Amino acid sequence: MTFSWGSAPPPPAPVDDGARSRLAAIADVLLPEAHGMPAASRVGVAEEQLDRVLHARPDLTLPLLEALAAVDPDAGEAALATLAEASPAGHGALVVVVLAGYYWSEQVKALLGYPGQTAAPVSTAFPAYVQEGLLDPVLERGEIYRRPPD
Amino acid sequence: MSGAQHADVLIVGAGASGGVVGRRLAEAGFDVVCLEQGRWQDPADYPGQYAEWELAAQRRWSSDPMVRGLPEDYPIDATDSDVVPLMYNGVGGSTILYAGDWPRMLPSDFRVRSLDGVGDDWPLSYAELEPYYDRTDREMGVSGLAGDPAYPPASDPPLPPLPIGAEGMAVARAHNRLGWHWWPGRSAILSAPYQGRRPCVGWGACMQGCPEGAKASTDLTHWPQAQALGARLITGARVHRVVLGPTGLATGVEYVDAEGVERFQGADVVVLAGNAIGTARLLLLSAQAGHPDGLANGSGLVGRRLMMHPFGVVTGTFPERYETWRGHVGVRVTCLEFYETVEDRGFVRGSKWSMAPSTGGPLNAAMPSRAGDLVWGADHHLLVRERFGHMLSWGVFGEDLPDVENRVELDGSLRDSSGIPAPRVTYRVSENSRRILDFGVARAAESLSEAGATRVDVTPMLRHSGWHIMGTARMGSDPATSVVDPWGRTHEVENLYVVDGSVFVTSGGVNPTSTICALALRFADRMVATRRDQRVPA
Repeated sequence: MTFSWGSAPPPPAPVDDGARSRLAAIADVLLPEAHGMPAASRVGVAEEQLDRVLHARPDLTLPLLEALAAVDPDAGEAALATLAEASPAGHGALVVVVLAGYYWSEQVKALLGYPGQTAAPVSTAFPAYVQEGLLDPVLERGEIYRRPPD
Repeated sequence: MSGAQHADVLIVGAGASGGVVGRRLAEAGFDVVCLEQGRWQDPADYPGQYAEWELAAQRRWSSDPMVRGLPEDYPIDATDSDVVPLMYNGVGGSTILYAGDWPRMLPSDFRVRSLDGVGDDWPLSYAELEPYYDRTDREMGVSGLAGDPAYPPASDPPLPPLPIGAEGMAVARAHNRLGWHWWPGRSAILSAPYQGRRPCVGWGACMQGCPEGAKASTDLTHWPQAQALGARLITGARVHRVVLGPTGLATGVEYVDAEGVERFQGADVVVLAGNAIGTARLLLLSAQAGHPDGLANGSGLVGRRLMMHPFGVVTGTFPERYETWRGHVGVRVTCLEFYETVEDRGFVRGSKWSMAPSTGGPLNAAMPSRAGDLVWGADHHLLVRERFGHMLSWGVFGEDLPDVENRVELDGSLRDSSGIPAPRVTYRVSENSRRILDFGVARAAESLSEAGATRVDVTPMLRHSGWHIMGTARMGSDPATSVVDPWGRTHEVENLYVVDGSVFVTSGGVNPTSTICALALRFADRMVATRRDQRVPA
C-alpha cells in the first residue's frame, strides 16, 4: 500500500485507452449523473482516479482488466450481474475501482459535505447526558446484575 | 542451530497478554525475552490519516490474516467454521486493530455452571480478578464512568468518559423510554493526555490502527516500558516448537528468524501468549516423547472448546446527520439490559450491545461491509445521501458456551511462509448462541426504531467477526479436564505457562481483552511471588 497524501500524482496505471473507455461506460451506468451528483466519468473514475486506486491497490489491476474484457457496457446493470456470476473477483475489483475512484473525488466529497478524516480534540466537558439527567432513571433502577452464590 | 543469550523468562507473542506479562516481569527484575513473528508498527503507516484509508482497510489493514496476507501472517483454514477468526500479528498483536471496547466480565460470567447449569465455573471469581482489572485499566489508560448498575461498585476509571455524541444521547433517551439499561462505554482510548500519550482526536479509524496513539495497544503501553527495563523483543521470530529437556521441563523454543535461519532460544520459564489459535497451534506442533498428542495435552483439550462470540449487527438510518465518520468507533453507549439469564426467553445467558456510528467514509456507505446492499443507477446517489453520516449500529454478541467439537487442529497440507503446518478451525454456532443473537438483534432493532431510525437493517450474524478468540487451553484445577491450573501453569510441564485468551473457561458475553489483560497480570504476579519455588531446567 502506497499512500498519495501530500505526494505527487501516481504514475498512469497499466490500463490502455480501450479498457479505460469501457470502464468509463460501465461506470456511468452504475453511477450516472442524477440528483445533483456527477456521472462517474466526469470525475475521472477511468482516468486520474483510476491511477490513484490502482497505485494504492495494484492487486486489483489484473482482475479489473479481466472484468473489463468480459463486461458488455451496453448491457447496463445486467452486465454487472452476469460478471458477478462468471467472475466474482473481477466483479469485486470493478466495483471497488468505480466506487473508490468516485468517492475520492474532491468534487464528490464536497457535494456530500465530507471533509475527509480529520483530527480535532474530543471534549470531555461535563457531559450533556448528566446535565440532562439521562442517567437518573438508570441509576434509580438499582443494580441489575446477578450475584453468584459465592 | 544458532543460540542466543539464555533468559529467565521467554514469552512467545508480543500482543495483549504477552505485553502485560513482559512488563510486569521486567519490572520485577526478570531477564525477559519475547519472540514475536510480526514487526513493530509505525503509526505513520496507519491509514486513517490518508485519503486511501477505506481501501487500505479492505486489504493491508484488514483484520483477516487471509485477506491481509502479510509474510508474518499464518494462514488459517476456516472453511469449516461458521465464524472467520480475525487477528493481527505484530508487536501489540490484535490490540493494533481492535476497537478498544473495554468492558469487564460480570460476576455471573465466572459461575455459569452454578447459576445456569451450563459450561463450567471458573476457578476464580470476579472479586478475585477485580484488583487486576483496576491495575490494567491504569496501565492501558481507560476512559469511562464509574457507577454502572450492571456491575458491582468499582473504582473510577483513570480517565473521564469519551463523548457519546448526539447519537448516543438519542439512544439513551430511547432506552429511558423503554426502561432499558444504557451506560457510556468504557474504552481503552484516552480522553485526556495520559502518561506521555496524546488523547483521541477522533480520526474515526481505530480499527486500522490509531494514528494518534490514543488507543491503548501494548506496543505503546507495555513493550517500551519493558524494554527500558532490559527486556529483549525479537521480531520476525516464528516459534514452531517448545523443547523439553530430560527432566520434562521446558528448556526453550525453536524458531525461524527473519532471515529464515533456524534458531533456539533457551529460558528457565516459557510463557505462551500467541492467542487461542496460535498458542493451541504451537502446543500441537510441540508433540514429542511423553506428549504424543501435543504438549501439555494429557486432557485432550488443547485446541478444543474454541469460543469466538458470534456477532450480529443492527443498523439504523436516521434523518439526523450525526457525522458518523468522526470519533472513536468502538462504543459510544453500551447496553446490558439483556445480559443475564431470564427463564422464559428460551436460552441461557444473554448479550451485550455496543452502539457506535456505522463507521467509515462514503465508500463504506456506498459499499456496506455490514447491513445493506449495493444499489446502482440514479438511486445509488439517493441511498448514499440517506446513509452517509446518518447510520448508527448496535453490535450484538453474547455468551458462546464451550463445545469440545469446536476446535483448532493442525492442517494436513496448509503451511505458513516458513513451511510450518497451519491451523484449521472447526466451529459451529450453537443453538443457544443463535437464540441469544436472534433475541438480541430483535430488541436492538426496537431500540433504534425508538431512537428515531427511519430504516433498520439487520445482519443476524456476521461471518467475518471472530475478533474474540478464546478457550483452547482452558484453566482449571483438575488435570483431567483442563490444560492449565488457575495460575496459567500447564498441569504437565511445570515451567510452561499459557497467559492468553486460551485459558478462558467460558467466554462471558463481553469483549475479552480487558479480562485477558487482567488474567495475564494475575498470572505474572503469581510468577513473581513464587519465583523461588519455580522448578527450572538444570
